[in-house]
Amino acid sequence: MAITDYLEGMNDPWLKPRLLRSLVRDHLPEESGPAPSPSELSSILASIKTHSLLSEHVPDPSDAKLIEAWRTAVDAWIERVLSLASSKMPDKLWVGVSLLGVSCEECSSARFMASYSLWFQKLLLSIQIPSSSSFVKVAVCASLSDFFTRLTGFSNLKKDATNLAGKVILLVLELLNESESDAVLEGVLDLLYVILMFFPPVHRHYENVEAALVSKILSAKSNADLSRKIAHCLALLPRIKGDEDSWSIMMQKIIIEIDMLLSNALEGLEGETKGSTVVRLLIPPGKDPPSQLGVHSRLREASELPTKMFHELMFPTISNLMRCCCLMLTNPFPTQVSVPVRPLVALLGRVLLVDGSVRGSFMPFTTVMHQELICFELPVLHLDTLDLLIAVVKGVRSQLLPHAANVARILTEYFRGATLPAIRIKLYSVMQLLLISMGVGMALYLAQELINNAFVDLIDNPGSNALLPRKQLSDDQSLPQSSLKKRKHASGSTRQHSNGIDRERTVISIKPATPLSVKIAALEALEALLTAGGSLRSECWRSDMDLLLITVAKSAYDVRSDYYKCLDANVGSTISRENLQLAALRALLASLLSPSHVRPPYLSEGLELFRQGKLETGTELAGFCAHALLALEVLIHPRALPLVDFQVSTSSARDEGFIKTFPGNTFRSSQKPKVPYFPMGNRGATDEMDEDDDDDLLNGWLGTGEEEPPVQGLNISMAEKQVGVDSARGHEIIEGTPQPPRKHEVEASCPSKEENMVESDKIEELNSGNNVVLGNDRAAPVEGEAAIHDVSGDEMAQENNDVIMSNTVAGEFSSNLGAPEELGTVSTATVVAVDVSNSLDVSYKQKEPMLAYDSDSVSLDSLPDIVDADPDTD
Amino acid sequence: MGTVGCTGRSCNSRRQGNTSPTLLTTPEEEEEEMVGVGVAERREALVVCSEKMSTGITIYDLETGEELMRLPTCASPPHGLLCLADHHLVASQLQRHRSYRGGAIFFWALNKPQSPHRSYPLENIGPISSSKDGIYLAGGAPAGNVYIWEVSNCPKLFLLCLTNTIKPDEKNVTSGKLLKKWPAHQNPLSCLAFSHDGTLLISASEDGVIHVWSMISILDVEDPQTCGTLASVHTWREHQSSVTGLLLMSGGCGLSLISSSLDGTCKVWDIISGGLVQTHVFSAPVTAIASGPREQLLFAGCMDGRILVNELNLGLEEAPSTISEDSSGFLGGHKDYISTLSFSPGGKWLISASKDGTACIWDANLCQLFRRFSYKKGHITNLLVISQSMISVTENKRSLLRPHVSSLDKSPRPNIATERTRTILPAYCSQEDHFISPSPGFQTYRLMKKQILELEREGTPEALEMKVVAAVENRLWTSTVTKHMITINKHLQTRLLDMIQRRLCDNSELARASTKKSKTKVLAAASDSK
Repeated sequence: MAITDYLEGMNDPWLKPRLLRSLVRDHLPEESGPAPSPSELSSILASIKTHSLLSEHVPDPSDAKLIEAWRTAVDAWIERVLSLASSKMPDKLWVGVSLLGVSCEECSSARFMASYSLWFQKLLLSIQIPSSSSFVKVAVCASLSDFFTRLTGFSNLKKDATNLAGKVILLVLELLNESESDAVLEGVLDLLYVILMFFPPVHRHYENVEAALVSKILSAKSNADLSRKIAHCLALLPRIKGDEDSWSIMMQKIIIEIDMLLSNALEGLEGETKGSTVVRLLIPPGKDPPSQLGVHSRLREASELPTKMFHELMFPTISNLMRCCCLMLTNPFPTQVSVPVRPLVALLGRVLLVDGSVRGSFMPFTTVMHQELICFELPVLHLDTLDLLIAVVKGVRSQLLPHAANVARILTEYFRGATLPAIRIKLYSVMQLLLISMGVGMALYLAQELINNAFVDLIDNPGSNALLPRKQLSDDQSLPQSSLKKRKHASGSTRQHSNGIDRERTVISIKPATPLSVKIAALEALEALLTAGGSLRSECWRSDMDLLLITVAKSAYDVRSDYYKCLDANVGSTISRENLQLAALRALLASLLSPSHVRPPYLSEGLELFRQGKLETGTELAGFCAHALLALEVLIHPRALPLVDFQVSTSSARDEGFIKTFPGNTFRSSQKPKVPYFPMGNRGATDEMDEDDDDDLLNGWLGTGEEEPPVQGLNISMAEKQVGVDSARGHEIIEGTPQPPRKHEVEASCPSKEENMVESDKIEELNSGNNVVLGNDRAAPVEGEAAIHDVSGDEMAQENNDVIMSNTVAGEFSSNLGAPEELGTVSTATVVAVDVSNSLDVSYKQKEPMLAYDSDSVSLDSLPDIVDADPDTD
Repeated sequence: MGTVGCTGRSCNSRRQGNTSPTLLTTPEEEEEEMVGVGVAERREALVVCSEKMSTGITIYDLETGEELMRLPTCASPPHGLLCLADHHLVASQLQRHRSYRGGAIFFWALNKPQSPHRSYPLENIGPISSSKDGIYLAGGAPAGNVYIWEVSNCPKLFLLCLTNTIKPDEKNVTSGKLLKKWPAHQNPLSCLAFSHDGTLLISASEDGVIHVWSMISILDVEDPQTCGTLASVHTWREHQSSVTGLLLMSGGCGLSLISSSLDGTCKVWDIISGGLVQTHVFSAPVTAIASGPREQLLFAGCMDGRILVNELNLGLEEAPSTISEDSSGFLGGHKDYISTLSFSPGGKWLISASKDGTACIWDANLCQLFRRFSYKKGHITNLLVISQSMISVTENKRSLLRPHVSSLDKSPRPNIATERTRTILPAYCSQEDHFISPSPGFQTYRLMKKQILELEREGTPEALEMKVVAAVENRLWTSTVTKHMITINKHLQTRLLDMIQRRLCDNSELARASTKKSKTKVLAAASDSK
């Protein structure tokens, strides 16, 4: 490669080896040179990443020169990185180790396969340097974890990888036990996580790792990130053994530990000793509980301290253990596990029941300070508990059913006392989860409490006089709504005036405003309720709910509403009016769509809101509004669609359909097997079916045909057709051909035929093509039954083709019509068919011998060359 | 009657069917299938079961009629056969030949069908039903009791095994726990059905009573109500005679239920509100019902062998309405009463079976007879359509997968308090993904960027430490280099002095009068060499 050659552009593959070469030459220091500056490093990183310089992915694998050039460039890079990684200078060591980690991620598979063990040795050596700074240790841990992450891609190396992981785990243990720095600990835990996740090493380390992690749980009181990682690793620990028992034992240990800690922490605030209940449920009588995890005893040891410290340590530890529980429940495990759902639910109930009030006879043991402290910590504890509940639901899914009633009871009871916004939000989301996963059954339990609470949270609109009690709300239904409406419509002229009123009202209705985020959560929960069981025992609440949702949606819309502006300012969070709008509109859509015994009363207002929202280009809101309008289309124009099944059956027979409108002819016998079994079969099958039935049927159909809104240009021919059919009835009963009029009915009820006509050319061609083919078949002088089968087989195939063809066409229609696909197609098809048949009808009546019909009027008129057109090729 | 009406083709196939137990097809039909079927993997299999113990279950290829598998010894009452979460066939057994009371339910693992697992509940079990995820199995007894077992602990167990997410393990057994038994009806149960979300159970009995039960309150472990006081969510007594079919629909007002009865009506109920929505009145007792996936047509099999077709317009009528039989047509092809109707999962085929020993496959779109075959082995009581992949795939991996079934409990377990829920944890859970930081994927790149930033700003103690250590190391290095230089310098100096001295000594005799020039030259040379 000549350096002087110009590149073809930025996509020239030659760029990459050159770039890499120059990177190595100019920026990466030799062993002796000075370490690159941070800014240099970041430019190296950026170019490696953006151009994937190490990938060695050549677009043209035959370009040996390029491959060779790139290979040598990468070789040079790796060599330089490795030499840096064995440097004694900490800064160069750091650069080398980090870049090696990046190389693990970026290099080609072949290169990784070839040199992974060498790299591993290098990394292992560099972490073993006792004096290396924590900065370097963190980098080595990250590189190692990247190394293992990359190894997961090579299933053939799995055994080797597990070996390597076994080596690393010792180091990890050492680091865990020794290091003081949080950063190093985090790095080590990340590495441990990767190893546990992908290459669980041999059993003998299990206890050691567990002990190390448990000891760290206590020390990680201040660093939430760190404690989360510890919990995560602890949760993954059973993967080392990978069997059901170790998972269960770990779960039991954690639950027992939590239970013990709770007993300590909540001393005096619980009515009776609930602790034993959980353990009793957990450990079957006669069995020994597993060895303790040791958190509690360590805590005791550590608390030579005053009780205050004891408690300060205790609550974060409980949270941590709960999180660990959550992670165990939501992370995959290689075998089936048995989840102690009942003890878990009992634990949940126990924690949620504590509200901080002093109970029972424990009064003297509880100091005021103790209570204060617990009340301070309780909300966090409750949040964690609710997280645990979510994890349980996710973990056992529908197997929660036997415990669902209990959960629902706990939740509804707890909801009454929950006032903190964060807790309410979490409660709403728990309810949403339960409602969606358990549907109607759950709605039965939760609906009442959810509605009561959501109403309290949502009703504080400026328009309405603040907290309307539920009963009252239904009485003054018209009041808030009409005032809102008035304001909306009068926005132009009397703007100032109405604004003044609004301000006054806002000032008057000063009440502790519910934060927007709580409102959003409440709206989401209501949406879930409406989705799951909208009309479930809804007589009492549905109308209130609909009114509430439309009111909330409207007020969320009202840009002029000072109310929400000031709310925004209050909260000062990222949750904006748009989020509320979106949530309100979602709930509104659910309320409009959810089944109810009456037509949605606020449909028109809702539509207006959605149309308005669609104009806010570029927001999520606009996208949702477009979707909502599409969904509501069915409500606006309820569709009494003709049955697709019938249509397909008639339309697939359309080619013979208009032949059948001609009375008695020589084709009868040959057509017979091809006539659709329904509704033909009965006539063939049951001779006792009398003709009167058919008359009724026919008249019924004709009647419906007349009742349909007449379609211009067709009704005349329809009338002709009816006459024709009537006169032909005597013959037709044998053949049972009431389908043609039915087609009219079908077609007349199609709302948007004109558009179909635009597209119909193609179909017309296809149809006539089929007609001709079929006509030829029919024309074949076949009378014997056996032969008929042959023909029918072919024709069957063609009919299938027709169906397929029409489906493909349907795709085009459905987008612009909004009508269901089949309707679109079939009606098009029938338009064609009927048009032809009508014209033929008249002409036919004039000339009775109709043998000529098939070959002349159709096959010749309609472009013989289309005979070759295979419908499938379309 | 019956066969009179069928077309020549179907008569033909029936004639051929008489000569052979399998479905026979003419060459044309096979060609036609090739057009219609499409991908071979998505083929469907028809599972047929009769009331004679000796005939057992036969599995046919729905498209070709080829017999795929035969499972001996099974005789099921109506509604007594189901496919449990795509991995087991479950059939309750008619127990006419046994003298003592007691029922039997057989399980066949689809991948290992040779050895069925047999369970013997306390009572004879007639109709059975399972929840969609295959976790709960409900069975109804003639005495009016309903049993609910937890049969499968992982809805996706099978799939997970296939994808190697879960080790196929001998321990992956289903629990078979009897969760509840309660007297639901006064009369023998005729039908059972779960709602789509599995939280409602609908039971119907031979006296025409239908109950809707909330699974949550039935299974409530904390508060085990006494059996007598269990209240159903809804109770409907409008049917005059035995209920023969239950069909759950999602259309219309939320969740709808269609029940068919021997009183000649099909009634559409709104499960959520509990109201009667429609009544379809037919001219004959209805013995089986089915509706396609699109839920637009109601196919009602009648006592006289006809299959009547009515439109279903759920949600359009506001008041309860009565819809009379759509006399425009019916599917005729059976001589005796229709014992069961079933749709293929894709909705393409409707399969009907009759007491006359024939079964017909209808093209549901065209309402045309596609194929008819006669099942010479007796009266078909149940049929199912399952995906063939469930059978064929497992043939390859038969050795790998052995989902076991344990016996269904006869009575509730005594120590229910400490009972665990055996389950398979979900393979993916989105919880906390965003804030649990051991994020999947590579970390060095991110970490390095962070560390570079730290170095630049000296933001963290680690970065500072690094800088200090680096500086110290640098200084050490510089000092060693300096020392080295100094020693070299010294060395050179001594050499130079030596040389000068030597020269001076040598030259003292030779050129005492030598000029200072030469001296400077030597000095210059020395400095050069240095």
